[in-house]
Amino acid sequence: MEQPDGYVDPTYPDKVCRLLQALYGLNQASKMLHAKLDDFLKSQGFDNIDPDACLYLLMDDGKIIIVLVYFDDLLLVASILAAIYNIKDALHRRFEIKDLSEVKVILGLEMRRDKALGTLKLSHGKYAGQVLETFGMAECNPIGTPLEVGLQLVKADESDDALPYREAVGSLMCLMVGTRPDLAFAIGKLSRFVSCYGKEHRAAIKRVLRYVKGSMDKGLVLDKHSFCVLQGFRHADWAGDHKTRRSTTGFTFIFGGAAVSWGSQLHKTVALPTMESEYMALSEASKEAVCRNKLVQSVATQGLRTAISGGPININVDNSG
Amino acid sequence: MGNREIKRLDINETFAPVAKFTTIRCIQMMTAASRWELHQTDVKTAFLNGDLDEEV
Repeated sequence: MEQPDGYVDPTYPDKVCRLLQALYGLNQASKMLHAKLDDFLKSQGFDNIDPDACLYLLMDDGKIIIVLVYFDDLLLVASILAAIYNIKDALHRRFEIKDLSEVKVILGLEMRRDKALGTLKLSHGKYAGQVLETFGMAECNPIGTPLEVGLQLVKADESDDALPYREAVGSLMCLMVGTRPDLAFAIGKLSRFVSCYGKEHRAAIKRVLRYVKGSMDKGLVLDKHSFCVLQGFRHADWAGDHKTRRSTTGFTFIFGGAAVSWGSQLHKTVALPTMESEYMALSEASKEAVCRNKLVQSVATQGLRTAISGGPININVDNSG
Repeated sequence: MGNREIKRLDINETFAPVAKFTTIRCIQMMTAASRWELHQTDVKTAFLNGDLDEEV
């Protein structure tokens, strides 16, 4: 380690300062904070739950406390309010924290909760509005579906950079990942052409934006009367992509009446009979199910009086082929 | 000064651990179903919180 050129101290040219604390811009800084939070939470009796390094759970005297870490944002969940205040006090003693009280917006997700009715709605309405504004589609005519049925797209010879195709795909992907499973297939398809898009790709993305315009207030709604058990649904089309003859899988996991996990994937290999493509879809679904189930099981097995039930997950696959 | 970078010391990937969106949604759904409380806090000056144990 040397002093930077031009800033060498004439009295002590060989000496450098040793940094004892992380600073902004330092590669390690974010990891160091996580290590510190991890130490702190474990010293408070929290256990890290396996599939997610940022999820901590504490069962104490019939109470359940969950801490979810999103870098410097902490989501605190507890079965009783006093437990939340306890953990906040402990955090205050150790860190400088800003208390945002009850969650209204987390990571851009708007959360509306009606405690009397027992419903919770997650939506991205404000962000969707901003996206339409950015791409000059705020006043467009809404349309009922995100893509034309059976639309086949091929790579264009050269991309025209005049229209912000990539930016539009990126913005819509953000919506899709947050609260919009209905966009998964359209975005999955269109994002394969970010380096080779042409006229028809741009027309397709415009259609998705028009669809978003007509469904801006849509989101995920949980109703406490729904059955709180994890259920998977998976389906594969067969050789849906005419160029490569590979199949596309769509999947969703429903929990308490709302989708919690979803996606649309082009298979990695070609399936010969339809049955094979369904089996491939099922195998992928099982991997996701194992991961999701760990979380639900670890809460459900505590014998708490909650609406959450554990047990095996049903995965529904169309196998009529 | 890319040519002066030393491997491991300078080109470490920046790593910020975050929870999966799916996990966040699961937790939110459980909260609503069981009528639990859900609060949010934010660590101030997050980056200044780590103690370094290696020389930088």
